Amino acid sequence: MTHSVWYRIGLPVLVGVVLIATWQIMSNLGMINAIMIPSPSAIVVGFSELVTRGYFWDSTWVTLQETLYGFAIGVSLGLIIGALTGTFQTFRTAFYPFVIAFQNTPRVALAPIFLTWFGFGITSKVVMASVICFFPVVINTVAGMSSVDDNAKMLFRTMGASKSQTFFRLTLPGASAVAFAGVKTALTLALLGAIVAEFVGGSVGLGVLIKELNFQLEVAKAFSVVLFLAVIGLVLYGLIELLERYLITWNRD
Amino acid sequence: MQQREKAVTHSGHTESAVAMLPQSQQKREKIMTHQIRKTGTVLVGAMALQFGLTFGAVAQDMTQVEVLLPIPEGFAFTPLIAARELGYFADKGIEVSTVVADGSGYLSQQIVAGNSDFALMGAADAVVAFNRRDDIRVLFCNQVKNVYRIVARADAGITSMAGLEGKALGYTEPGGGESQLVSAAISEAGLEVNKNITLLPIGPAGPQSLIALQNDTVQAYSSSFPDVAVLAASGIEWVDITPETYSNVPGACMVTTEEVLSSDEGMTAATALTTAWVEGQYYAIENSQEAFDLVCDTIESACENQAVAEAFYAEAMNLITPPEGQRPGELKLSSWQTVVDILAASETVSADLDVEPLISGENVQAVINAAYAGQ
Repeated sequence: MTHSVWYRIGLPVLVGVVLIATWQIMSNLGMINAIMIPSPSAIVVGFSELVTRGYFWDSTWVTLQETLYGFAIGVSLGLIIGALTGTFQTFRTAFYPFVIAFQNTPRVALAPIFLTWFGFGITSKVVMASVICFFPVVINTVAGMSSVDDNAKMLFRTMGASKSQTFFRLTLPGASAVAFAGVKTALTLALLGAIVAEFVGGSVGLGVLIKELNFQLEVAKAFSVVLFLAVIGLVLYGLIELLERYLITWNRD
Repeated sequence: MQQREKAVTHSGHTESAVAMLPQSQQKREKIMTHQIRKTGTVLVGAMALQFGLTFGAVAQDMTQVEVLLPIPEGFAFTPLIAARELGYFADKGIEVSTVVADGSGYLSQQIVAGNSDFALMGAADAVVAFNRRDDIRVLFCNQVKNVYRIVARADAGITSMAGLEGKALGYTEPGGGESQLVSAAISEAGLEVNKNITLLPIGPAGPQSLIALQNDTVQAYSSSFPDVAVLAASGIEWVDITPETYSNVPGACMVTTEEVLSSDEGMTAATALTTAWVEGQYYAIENSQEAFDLVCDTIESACENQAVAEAFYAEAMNLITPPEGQRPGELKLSSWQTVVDILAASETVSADLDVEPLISGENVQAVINAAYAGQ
């Protein structure tokens, strides 16, 4: 047991420490251009200064709102469209090709268009986040519904269950694990969408803060915000994992 | 048979079907239904609360005026910040909110489409908008001097546009605000892009443009004054090679339409906005240090790097401060004619475009008279 814990946690920590130490030594020796890649210590110092600023937390809250609203809307629509696609053949035939086509469109290229359509406030960022996380949810929901045991479906038909009963009592529980995998991916994509939209046209948010810090050549602080975004992504992913464990208890390792 | 009849009764048949599924699937169905109901209720409630808090309306006593800006608030808009924070807008009965777009191009679209009443956009974009919609009007300019620069690294030995022959000139991005100036200046110097001068997009001030200049990828740079000032504060020594002809081109100017000015509400808002903004300009010019501190207090992030902030502010105030004999924000026809000449060089507008209606007319004059009445 001790060996297993050491292997799973200690080893990656050790690798991380070695990488960071090497990076710091190379920075100290002037082997890395500080403008291109600031040293780990400079990033830490920069972040410690940023967290004392009110505007840092204001920016964080704005980005979180954009992410969570976008995620909620994108996932809700994704689950509904996915469920309709997986349930009704006519719906699938009519709309699924378009879903696949848009899935392959680089959605970040839509950011300037969304700004024109939805303005430069929070709405365009929420729309961007929701569009970007919509598709994995749809695809995974459809895949999950397709994976439900055919024998079980046949049993339900045999027992005279209606379509809605089959859906809520068999298909939905059966597809949930795969669908939730899409939901987990969607959350990090929602964060990506919010940041991209802020880069293209925002006045507040962590994406805007990165631009502003880069403009002022506060590169270490800009880097620290990027790393902070990675931490936010990890935390949100962890929360979704917890939610999955709570909802889908039969899927635990 | 009895069992089957029992199975198909309305309330019981699904339960029977479920009962015949493997244990794991039964458990799955039961738990999921309960968990989803419980979680969904909590989530919907939380979202409803957040939406209510975020979008809850509060009764406003003052007229709300929304102004579109091409870049985020900061030192470039010191008069705006002064007017808001010192209560000049409130004294005139308006509450000004800003929406930041990504460059004047978007603002031009919004004004031409009639989606916005007031926008502070670059002079070139204002003329392009006027070319599309002839009731576009300019009330005043935030900066009365050219906000775009063409500068060369001092160590590159370039002292004029002609010196760029065989060299690389960096700029922010395709279609950037400086592109018209660059196009006109290159043409005037007798140069031709990709033949005897290279243009390279290196972005605004930041690590990428600094590196491009330091490693000699480009020997000169064209952008708006904030970018030039920030790079100078980072150690790049410049020689300004912007043709003198273009030095009087106005900066960002307040644009509206005759449609807005024709209504009582629009006229009142325009007059209040202009008057308070001009007051802000006078304040900033006459109280430079106080205005700097005010901006830093209002927008902390703008002063994260003190050296950069001071360099940016000095240049911003240089462009806001008018030459001798001109009032802050004042419009001059000769300056706007220069803008037309620059745009005509790239055939964006016709060289004989009459730009006088853009900055004149009964309504515009009434706003201007009111704005300077107390000064």
